[in-house]
Amino acid sequence: MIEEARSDHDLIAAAQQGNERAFETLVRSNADAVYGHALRFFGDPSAAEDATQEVFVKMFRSLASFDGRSAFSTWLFRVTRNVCLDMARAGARRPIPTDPVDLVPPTVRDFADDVVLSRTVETAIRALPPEERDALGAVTLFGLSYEEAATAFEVPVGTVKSRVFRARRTLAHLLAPAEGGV
Amino acid sequence: MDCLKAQEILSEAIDRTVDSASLTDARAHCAGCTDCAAFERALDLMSRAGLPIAPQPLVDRIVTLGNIEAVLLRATAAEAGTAPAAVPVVRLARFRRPQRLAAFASIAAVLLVALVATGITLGGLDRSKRALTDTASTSWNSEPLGAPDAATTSTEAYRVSASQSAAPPYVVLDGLVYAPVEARTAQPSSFVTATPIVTALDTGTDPIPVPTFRIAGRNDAIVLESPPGTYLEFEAVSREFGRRRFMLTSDVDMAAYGAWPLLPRRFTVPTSSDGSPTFSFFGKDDAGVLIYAPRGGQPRNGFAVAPGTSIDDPAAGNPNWTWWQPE
Repeated sequence: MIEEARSDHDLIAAAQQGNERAFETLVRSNADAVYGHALRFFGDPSAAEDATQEVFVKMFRSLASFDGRSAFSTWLFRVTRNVCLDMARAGARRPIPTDPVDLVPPTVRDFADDVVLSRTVETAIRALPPEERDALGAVTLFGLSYEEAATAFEVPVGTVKSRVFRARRTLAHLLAPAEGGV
Repeated sequence: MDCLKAQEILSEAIDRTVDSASLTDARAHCAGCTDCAAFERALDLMSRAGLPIAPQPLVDRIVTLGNIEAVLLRATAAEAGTAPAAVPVVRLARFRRPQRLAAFASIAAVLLVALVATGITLGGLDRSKRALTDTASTSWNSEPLGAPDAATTSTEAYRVSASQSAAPPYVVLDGLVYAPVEARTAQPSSFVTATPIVTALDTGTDPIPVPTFRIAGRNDAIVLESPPGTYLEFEAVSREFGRRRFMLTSDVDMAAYGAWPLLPRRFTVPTSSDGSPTFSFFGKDDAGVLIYAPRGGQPRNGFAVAPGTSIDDPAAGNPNWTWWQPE
């Protein structure tokens, strides 16, 4: 963990000096997390791509002011969350609502196919309440600790734990197969 | 241990925040509890599901944008003689502005290499360079240019107009022609990054990719950032016909201010003032300007306008036929 922190710190320092390789590494190592959050937020790959690009452009232009007081992943998560919210507020892109009631219960056969399984889980995640979905994403996509997520959300650590747990319980319920048990 | 506690421990174990003794206790509980065993299996299922993966072309595109930002960051630092500072306060500027910093010209080659290497589409850099070369003047307020450029022929795949007067400071994005607007307040938070436009603007230097944004909720406006922190708003050049909006098009990118839009290359330039042999006279647009439709076509799908429109027309001064497509 300390090694990772040093690595991030070095990368950002290099990027702040205009090092292209550092920029590229920051993009490639964080693109999936940013895109994943945006995809879960909007439910639309095209909107997720726009948001991802916007996040990184903001990241490039804000790097000079990044002071390292919070972890880079925490900072990037905040930027990602804010960009998605701003785009939705501005009406540039609207999240496609996913109602848990509309989810087709998966079957045991669905779980044998990795692609179908991933799609089923992602659909179920989109149906979560936003604060639970965001907390789960902060921890599982961005790799934030509960403490870091608590900082990002400006809530107590216990609240983050509780949201992540509730998200997983809801998912477990949504993913309960329609036939034959898991 | 009750079910709630056991399930909390199982959940937190995924995030590596519980000790092994607690986890052992929770698993022991699950062995004798159907509900908790089902929860444990569901957690296992979730952990097997892959996480979303960003499309590779998107990542490559962002890397390219990062390269551009990195180069600009270095150039800014070099000019200031200091380390890169925080991004300046965003402001929207009038399109008339001083010459572009010379440093940007020197880094253009680096940017172009980066863009080409990653396959980003910028609308034909070669053609853009020719546009700059072939256009006699790039000044918005320059005097009439005089005689047509003899080097420009109708047989060239890429044709640049030889005009009697300088064109407005147009830029082209995705085939639509945009002209600057007066300074107005636009919230940078509403900017959505678009493919950079390769242009020299009014600098007279080589064209470079200029960061470009669309404005959320508006499909007729773009914003160019040049120099960093200065935002130039452009609006699509348009006219109305049948109360519908039609946009001026160009299938050639304009590498600098001063070039006139031409008919798309799929049309043969009319040899007669009545539009023949390519077009037929159709009628008038909402402002009374004569419009011409392709032979056998309908103007609702786009129409042409002949050169020589009045001074208050959006095509005023253009010595070429122009093409207007529906919004």
